[in-house]
Amino acid sequence: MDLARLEGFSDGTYEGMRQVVELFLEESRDTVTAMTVAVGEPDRPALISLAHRLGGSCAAVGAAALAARLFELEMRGRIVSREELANLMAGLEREFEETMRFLTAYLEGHAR
Amino acid sequence: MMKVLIIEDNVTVTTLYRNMLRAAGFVVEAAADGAKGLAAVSSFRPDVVLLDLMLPAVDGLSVLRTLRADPEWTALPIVVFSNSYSGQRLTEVWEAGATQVLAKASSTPKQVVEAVRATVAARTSGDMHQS
Repeated sequence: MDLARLEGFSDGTYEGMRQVVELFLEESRDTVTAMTVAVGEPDRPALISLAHRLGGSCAAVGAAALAARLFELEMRGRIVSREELANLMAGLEREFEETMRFLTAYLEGHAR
Repeated sequence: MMKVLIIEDNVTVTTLYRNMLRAAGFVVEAAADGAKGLAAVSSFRPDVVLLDLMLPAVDGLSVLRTLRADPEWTALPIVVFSNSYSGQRLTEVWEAGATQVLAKASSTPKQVVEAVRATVAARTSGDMHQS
């Protein structure tokens, strides 16, 4: 996680940073949920579109590891087997959980 | 005050850059797809457009080509701000008349704001030289 990039969006206060992180996590959570549904159907065009859109957020805020997972899904999502698609999605979900834990801990550390 | 139109379907990116650009002194409006973006160019009449490529309804490249085909918007500064990794796509963007191309992954918030400011300044300077 590129914290300098993330902090570049805030006004330097804890409240400003909290707003940036919560905005990112809320959109990410909603999008990952929609992607899980798309994998289950499977609706590959919807999945790829969602991966690209969330990839934009991740790139902008410096969530590089999550952006890399999304890029892989965007590039390979149209051609891999259903089983491989489910594996890619599982990897993405793990990375999202890790990113969420990191950012939540970061905010808690700055709230003190 | 200078006006910026953000054409972007990503809520997080739109909100973050709208806040940054407002804090930098710009008047900012946003459109969530290409069709709304084209309508907003006519109604809001921005000094610069920050344009994503992969958009619903009408994609960013089509928005760029439509604007450049209209004599009224030939000189409008358009900064393409994209998550696209395709070299071919980026070549098309330059050929279609982008003023500047920035990658979301490698541009810091400050760099994006500065690019917008510099693009507007360059156009204003060009206008002054012509008059």
